[in-house]
Amino acid sequence: MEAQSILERIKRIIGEADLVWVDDQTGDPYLVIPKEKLRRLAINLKGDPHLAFDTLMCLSGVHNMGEQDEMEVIYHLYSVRHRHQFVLKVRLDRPAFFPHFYLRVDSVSGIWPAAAWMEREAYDMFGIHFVGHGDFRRLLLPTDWEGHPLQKDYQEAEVYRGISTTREEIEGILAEESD
Amino acid sequence: MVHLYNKMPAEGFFGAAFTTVDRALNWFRLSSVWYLLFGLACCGIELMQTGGPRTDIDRIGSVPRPTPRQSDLMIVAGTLTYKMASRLRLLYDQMAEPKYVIAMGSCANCGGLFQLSYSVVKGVDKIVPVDVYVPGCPPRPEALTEGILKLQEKIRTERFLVKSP
Repeated sequence: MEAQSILERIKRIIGEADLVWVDDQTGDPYLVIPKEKLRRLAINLKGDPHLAFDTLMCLSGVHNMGEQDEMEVIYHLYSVRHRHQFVLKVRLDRPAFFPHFYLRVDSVSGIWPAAAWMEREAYDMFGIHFVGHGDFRRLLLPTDWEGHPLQKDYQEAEVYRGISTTREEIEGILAEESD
Repeated sequence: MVHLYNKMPAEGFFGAAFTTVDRALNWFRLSSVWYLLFGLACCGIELMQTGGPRTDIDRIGSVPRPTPRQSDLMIVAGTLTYKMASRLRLLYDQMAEPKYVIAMGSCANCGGLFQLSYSVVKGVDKIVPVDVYVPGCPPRPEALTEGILKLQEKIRTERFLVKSP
């Protein structure tokens, strides 16, 4: 099924309101949906026999700090049965105060088990909380790590477990090069 | 090797005898520097090549051991992350004295390519004391052999029973 006809089918499932369809001919076209509709759409994307997206190829996080501070969760879906694919995006606002309260989205790990580790990685790197995950903790970094390093405004700590995180003689060289 | 708190002076009959014993012990030890397999990244491939048939460091007495309890030397080959740092320290503490450390490659020396990374330790000398630094990214097997020969020179001059001249 082509991307356009998949889009028509999705509109019949969750309605046309608040959907943003982007097809700028530079890559895969993608659909931005509000996060409240994600779970219902995901169940239907997998269960609908005409769509049958049985594989979540990739779940990624993106932090955009342009005119608006926001995060994205991107779902690359593939159907082995029909051999078609689709890209979904969810955008999350990141206000200055209590950002962790707003960076929440429903987990899809109950629908695609492959999402379990990818959601944990997205949490590890970006601090996006996936609600209803079941085993939600950091994946790669140590459990006592502070902060989420792929956030654009992440500041590296001076010391981690008594180990200083800089090397003094190289700091000087780097400062000279940046001048 | 037992560290004697009151070392013998190097003069006299006993001094001469203990100096000879010291030299013999040093020669035994430098001729069998067994190293702990500690390949963390691509340097580990060169470490394997160094033990392989072309640059056969078995002929200078170095053989790999898969356990810290039988090793004299830890070759830290590769990128050390903060998560791995406590494991490195644990393995180092399990090695029996006297023990030596070679930092192999740029990452182990100073963080190297990952200098601005958030997760990489900027040099293993922040975790364990390092005897020989081998530069390169990764160093060729010849360079690592040179590092082990440098370490042998260091062991040759050590004094355990007699005061250093």
